[in-house]
Amino acid sequence: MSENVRSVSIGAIVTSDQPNEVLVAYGLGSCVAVCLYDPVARVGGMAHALLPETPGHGQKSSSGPAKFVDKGVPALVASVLKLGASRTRLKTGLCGGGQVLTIPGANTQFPIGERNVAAAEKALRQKGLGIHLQETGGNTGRTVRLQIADGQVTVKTFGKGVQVLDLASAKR
Amino acid sequence: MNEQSVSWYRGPLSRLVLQVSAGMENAARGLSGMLGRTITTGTLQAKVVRFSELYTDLGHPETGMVGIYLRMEGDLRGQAILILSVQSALDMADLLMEEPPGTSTTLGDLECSALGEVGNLTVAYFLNAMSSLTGKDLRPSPPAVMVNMLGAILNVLATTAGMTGDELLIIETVIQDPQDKLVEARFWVIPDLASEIE
Repeated sequence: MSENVRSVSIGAIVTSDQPNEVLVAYGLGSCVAVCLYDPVARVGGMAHALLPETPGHGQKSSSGPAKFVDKGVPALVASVLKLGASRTRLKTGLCGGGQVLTIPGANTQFPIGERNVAAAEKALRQKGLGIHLQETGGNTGRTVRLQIADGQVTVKTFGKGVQVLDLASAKR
Repeated sequence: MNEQSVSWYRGPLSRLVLQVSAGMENAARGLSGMLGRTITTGTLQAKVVRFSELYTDLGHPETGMVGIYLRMEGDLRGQAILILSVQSALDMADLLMEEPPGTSTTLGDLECSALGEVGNLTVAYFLNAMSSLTGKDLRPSPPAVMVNMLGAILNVLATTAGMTGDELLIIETVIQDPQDKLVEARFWVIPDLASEIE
């Protein structure tokens, strides 16, 4: 069965129950990718979020349901449950949230990467979910892949090689 | 280009293009003096892109690239970036340090500092020309040099623009030396869409 790679672009949520599919978020900087996986139902999903919170003025986004972490995580959870995942079996992984840009002498606007990770942790907690895998922070780009067949997560970090992680059997 | 994307600019679009074009040509002049060789600009392009379309023709988002980034402050706020391949950055560093091409093999602190100066000068010359033409106060931030995955570099642009909208207005040219192509970089100016200039 040939592998079908589905790219998860900024703001997008992609879910799957097809064992030949692999969900991929390329070149994460401060963006955070939230991965969910049910190892029994073999259902998974990924959200690629740009910013932590929907602005107070309720900016409407046409960039997809996961532009903001606080809206993207609940939407991702709902999507994988709809596809047959069980909330009690869900494994969660976070990737990205780096600080790629540092302007010398400037008051760093805000560590968006850190805030994205914190917002994801909070949003998952509000859904009763903890974190099973986390590869976040630092100052280098990452690509994260989630294999639907077995929950294997592969993280490629710029200049540092590839890590293969098992989300299906990861414990908090 | 749709109407919304140029809402920050209240003059005719042709005037804006002329001003930005003059700014970019002035940047090339400044860079020519710094590098001691003729630097030219290619055709100016203005395009509106969504975040998901950012990784257009620059390469695969995992590709290692170099981004020399500055914020623009004052009456016109926005972002400016030079994007170049690692090899082109190494060649540019050699030119700046008056070393034979091929001398630099890694982008360490010294090389990145030199590249930061390229960003400083390029954007300062660009803004000086824009300021002369518009009479506006325009200032660059200090430069930041990123050696990273292309996707992570572009993520910076998307994050900043994403705070106010879902699209980026990118005004682009290619800066290069026509002689031996040792210098080749995309020069992008991305006005904050909330910023306005008359």
